[in-house]
Amino acid sequence: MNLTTGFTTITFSDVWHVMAPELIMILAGFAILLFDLFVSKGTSRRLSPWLGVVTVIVAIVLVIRNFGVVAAEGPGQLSNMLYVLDDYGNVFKLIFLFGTLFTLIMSIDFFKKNPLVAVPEYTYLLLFGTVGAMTMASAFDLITLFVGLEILSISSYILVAMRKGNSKATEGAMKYLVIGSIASAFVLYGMSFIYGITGQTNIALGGQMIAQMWMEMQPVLLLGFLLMLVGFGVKISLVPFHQWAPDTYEGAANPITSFLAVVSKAAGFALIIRTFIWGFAREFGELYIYLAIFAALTMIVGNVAALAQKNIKRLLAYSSVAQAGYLLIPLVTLGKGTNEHNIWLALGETVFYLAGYLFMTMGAFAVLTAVTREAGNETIDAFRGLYKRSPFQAVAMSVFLLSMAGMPITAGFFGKFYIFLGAINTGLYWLAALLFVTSAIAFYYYFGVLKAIFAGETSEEGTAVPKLGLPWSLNLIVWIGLIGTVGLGVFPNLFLDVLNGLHWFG
Amino acid sequence: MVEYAWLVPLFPLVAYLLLFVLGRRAQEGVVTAIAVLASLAAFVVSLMILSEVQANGPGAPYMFHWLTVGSYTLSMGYEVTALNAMMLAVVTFVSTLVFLFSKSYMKGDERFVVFYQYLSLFVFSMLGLVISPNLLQVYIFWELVGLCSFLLVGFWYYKPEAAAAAKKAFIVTRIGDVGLFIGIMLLFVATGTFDYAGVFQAVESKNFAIDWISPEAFITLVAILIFIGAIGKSAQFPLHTWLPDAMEGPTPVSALIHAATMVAAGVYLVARAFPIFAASETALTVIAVIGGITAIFAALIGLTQNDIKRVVAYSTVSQLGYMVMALGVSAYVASVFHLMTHAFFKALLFLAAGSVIHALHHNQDIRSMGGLWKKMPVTGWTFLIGALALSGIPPFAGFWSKDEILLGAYASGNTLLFVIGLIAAFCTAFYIFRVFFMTFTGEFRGDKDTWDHAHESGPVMTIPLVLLAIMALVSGLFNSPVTDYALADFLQAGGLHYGAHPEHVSWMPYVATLVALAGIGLAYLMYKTKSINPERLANGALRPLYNLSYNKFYVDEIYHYAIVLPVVWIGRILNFIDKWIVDGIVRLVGQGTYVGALGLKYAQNGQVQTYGLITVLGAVVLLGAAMYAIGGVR
Repeated sequence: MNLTTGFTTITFSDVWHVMAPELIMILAGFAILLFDLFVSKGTSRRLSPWLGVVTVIVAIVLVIRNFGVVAAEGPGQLSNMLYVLDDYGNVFKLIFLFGTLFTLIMSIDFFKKNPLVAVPEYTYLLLFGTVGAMTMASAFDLITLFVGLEILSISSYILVAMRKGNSKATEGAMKYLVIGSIASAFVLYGMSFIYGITGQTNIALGGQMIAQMWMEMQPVLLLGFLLMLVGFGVKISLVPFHQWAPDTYEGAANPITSFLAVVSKAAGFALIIRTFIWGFAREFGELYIYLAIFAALTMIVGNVAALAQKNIKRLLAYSSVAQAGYLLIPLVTLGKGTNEHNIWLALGETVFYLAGYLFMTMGAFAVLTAVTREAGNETIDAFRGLYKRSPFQAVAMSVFLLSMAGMPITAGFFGKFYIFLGAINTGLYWLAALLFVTSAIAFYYYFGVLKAIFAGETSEEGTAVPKLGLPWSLNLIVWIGLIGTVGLGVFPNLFLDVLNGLHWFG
Repeated sequence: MVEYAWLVPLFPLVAYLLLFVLGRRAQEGVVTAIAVLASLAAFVVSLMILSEVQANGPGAPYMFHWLTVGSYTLSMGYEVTALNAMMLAVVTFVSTLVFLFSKSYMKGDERFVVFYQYLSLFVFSMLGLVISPNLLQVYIFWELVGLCSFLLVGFWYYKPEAAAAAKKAFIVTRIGDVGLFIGIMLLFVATGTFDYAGVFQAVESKNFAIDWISPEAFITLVAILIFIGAIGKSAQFPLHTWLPDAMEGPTPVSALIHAATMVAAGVYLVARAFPIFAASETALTVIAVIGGITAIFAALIGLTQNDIKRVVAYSTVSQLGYMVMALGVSAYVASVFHLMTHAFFKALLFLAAGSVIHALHHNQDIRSMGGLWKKMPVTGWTFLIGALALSGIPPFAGFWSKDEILLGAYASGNTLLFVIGLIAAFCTAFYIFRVFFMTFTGEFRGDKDTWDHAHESGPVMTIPLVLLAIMALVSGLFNSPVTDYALADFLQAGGLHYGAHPEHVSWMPYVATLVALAGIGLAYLMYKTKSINPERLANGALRPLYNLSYNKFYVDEIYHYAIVLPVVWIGRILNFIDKWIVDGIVRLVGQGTYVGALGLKYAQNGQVQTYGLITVLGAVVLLGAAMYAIGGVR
C-alpha cells in the first residue's frame, strides 16, 4: 500500500474502476427520484420497485466482476486510499446487495397491502442506504467511513418511519433516530481523538502512528478506541447499547426490519472489522478483552431477554442481538494473534455466519409477514396451528428457527460451530463455552414458536381449516431462504472453499 | 461390499426424498412400497457387509477431507466395524418390518405420506450415526435422530398429550446432548481430532494437550460427559422420564424408538467409544451404578401400570439399564448381545401390542381387555414368545443375553449389582406376564361392541410379528454354546477385548430361569387363577409401595417442583428486576442529571430517555473501567 503524495486528477474511469456497483446504485436512485416526477403516480408505484430490483441485480453482477478484477489486477484504490477495491469489500457488498434484493422483493407484497406508502421514496432510500453500507465496507478513511455510516443510518431512520399511520413505527423510528444520533456522536468523538493524536484519517497510516505512539499516549488512544466501539456497538446492537433494537424492529415494516437485521448489521461488522484490523492491529492483544466482554454480555442478555418475549418480532430482535454477540467472537479471536492465518480464518467465520444469517433471517421474515398479517397480530400465538393451515410455511419456518438455534445440517449450526472452532483454535475457551451455553438457552425460546406451529389448533374439530396462502414474492424468498439455509448447512465446505480462495485485502 | 457401506443410509434417504417429492397425493400402497423396498435394500446390503466382515474382519475407515480450521483438519466419512456391521443389520431388519406393519396400522391417516417420510428420515439418521467414524459426525446425526423422534412422537400433534410428550422427549434428551457436546469438544481440544481412532490412541497414551487436569481425571470427566449424552438418549435414570411418555406417538414409532433407533443410540455410543470408558475405573463404576438403578427402578414402576404400551415402555427403560450396567462391569459383549436380542423381542412386543390396540380401536388399558387369545391367535402367540424372551426363559433370546449380563455382574464381584439384576429379572417376568394374562386370557372386560369387532390383524401386520417372533426365538443362539459363542468372536475380531467370556458359573442359568419362572408363576396366580387377589394387596399392607410404583416414584412431580417451578420463578424475578428496578434506578439517575430536560418528553413514552441513558451510562462505566485498568485514572 504505497501512498502517493500530492494532487492527482481523478477521472471517471478511475471512479468506475473502483466503485462501479455503488455508482450504478446511486444513479438508479436518482433516476427513480426523477422518474417519479414525470410519470403518473400509479405507474411510478408499480415500476419503481422493479427498477430497484434490476439495479441491485446489475450491481451484484458488477461486484462479481470485481472479484475477477481484484484477482487479475490486485486491489484498486481511489484518491489516496480514501476508497479501496478489494475482496473484503466485495464479499460484504454481495451480502448487502442480496439482502437489499430480498428486501425489495418482499416489499413488493408490502406495497400492495399498504397503499399509503410512498413507493418511489422507499425504493431509492433503500438503494441509497445500501450505498452507505457499501461505502462502509470499502472506505479506508475515517471520514469516508463516517459518511457511509450516516448515509445508511439516515436512510434507515426514514425507512422505519415510512409505515404510515402506524404509531409504533413512528415511535420506533424516533427511538432509532435518537439513539442512532447518540451513537454517531460517540463515533465522531472517538475518531476526533484518534485524529488529534495521529494526525491521520487514513486508517492504515493512523494504525502505524498508533503503534508508534501507543506507549506514551495510551489513555487517549484507548479513549478514542472505546468511544468508537460504543458508537459502533449501538449500530450492531451490542448489549447494553441494544435497547433501541426491539422497539425499532417491532415498529418497522417487515421488509425494513429484515433489512436492519441483515444489511445494517452486516455493514456495521464490515466497518468495525476493517477499522480495528488496520487501525489497532498491534494493540489488539490488549484491546480484544473489551470486545470479548461485549460479546459475552450480548450473547447472555440477548438470549435471556428473548425468553420473555411474546411478540414474534421482538423475539427475533433479541435473537438478532444475540447473533451480534456470536458474530463478534471471530474478531475477538484476533486478540490472540493478528497473523494472516488468524485473520483469514476470522473473516471466513464472520462472512460464513453472515451469509447463513442472511438466508435464515430473510426466510423467517417472509413467513412471519404472511402469518402475522393473516392473524392480525404479531404474537407467537399467531403461529398456532400453522402446520394445519400451511404445512410448507410451517416446515420452512421450523427450518429457519432451528437454524437460528443451531441445529445440525443447517447453516446456523455450521456457522456457530465454525466460530466455536475458531475460538478454540485461539484458546478462547471461556468464550466458546459461553457461545455453546447461550445457544442451548436459545433452543428454549425457538422451541416455544415451534410448539405453537405444530401443536396449536385454531379451529374446532371438524370444521375446515382455512388454508394460508403465500404471495409469489414471499414464496420466492422462503424458497431462497430454505435452499440457502440447508445448502450452507449440508455443504459448508463448498462456500468455505470459495472464501478461502479470496484475496481479502489484496 | 464394505466400501459401499454408505449405501445403507442412502436408501432410506432416497426414500425420504422420493416421498417428499411425491407429496400427499401419493397412494398408500406406492408410499409403503417405496419405503419398505428402500429399507429392504438397505437390509440386504447390510447383510452382505455383515458376511464380509465375518469373513475378512473389519476394515479401516473411509475418510474424506472436509475442511481445515486453523491447525485442525476435519474429515467426514464412514466406517464398518464388527459392532456397527451388526447394528446396521439389526436396525434395517427391524425398520423394514416396522415399515411394513405401519401400512395397516396407519391406514387412512390424513398424513400417511408424511409419516413414512419421517420414518425414513429417522432410520437414515440412525444408520448415519452408526457408520460415523468420528464424534462430530455422530453428534450431527445424534441431533437429527432427536429431531425425528420429536416429529414422530408428536405426529398426532392435535392430541395435547402427544404434543407435550414430543416436547418432553426433545428437551429432556437435549439436556443429555449438552453433556455429550461438551465431552466431544473437550476431547477435541485435548487431542485435536474427532476421529475415534485418534481419540482412542490419545487415551491409550494418555497424551493430552490440556494442563489444567491430570490425564486420568480428564478421561473420567470426558467419559462421564459422553455418558450423560447416553443417559438422555437411552432414557437412563434420572433422564428416563421422556421415554414412557413418548409412547403417545403411533405404536410403530414406539417400536422403532424402543428397538432399533433412538434409545439404542446411547448404548451404541458407549459401546463404540468403549476404550475411553475402559480407561477410567471411576467412569465405569458410575455407569454400572446408573444402569443398575435404572434396571430395578423402571422394573418396579412397570409392576403397576395399566396402559399396555406404558408397561412395555418401562420394560425398555429397565432393559436398557441392564445393557448399561453390563457396559459398566466391562461385560462388553453381553451388553451388545442384549442390545441385539432386545431389539427383536421389544419390536415384537410393541408391534403385538399395536396389533391389540388396533383391534380394540385404540384402547390401551389392560383392565378393559381379556380373552383376546381366541380372537387373535397369531398376535397372542407372538406376544407370548416376546414375553418369554423378555422374561429370560430358555431357549428364547433374552435368556442367553440376560444370563451373560448377570454373569458379568457376578464376575465383577459387585454382589449388589448382581442381586439387583436378579430382582429386576423377577419383576420383569411378573409385569410382562401380568399384561399377557390380563390381555389374552380370562373374560373380555370391555364393552360388547368392541369385542364383536375385534379380530386378528391382516397379514401385513402378522407377517412382521411372525418374523420378529422367529428372531426372538433364535437370535439368542448367536452367542451360546450352540454356536460356540460366535458373536463374541465376531466382535472381538474388531480388536476390542473386553469382557468376552465371563467365567461360566454352573448354577447361574438355573437361578436366572427359576427367578423368571417365579415371576411368571406369581403373575399366573394373581391374574390367571386369581388365587391371590391383586386388589387386596394393593389396598392392604402394600398400599404405600403400590402408590409409589403406580405414581412412578413421583419423579415427574419432583422435577416439576424442584426444577421447573424454581426456574419459572427465577425468570419472573429477573423480569421484575429488569422491568422495575433497573428501569427505576435509571429513571432516578435521569432525574438527578436532568436528562429529562433534553426535551425528549414528546416521545410517546419515557423509554427513549432510558435507552439513551443506559447507552451513555454503559459508555461511562466502560471508559471508567478501562481507564482504571490501565492506571490512567486513580
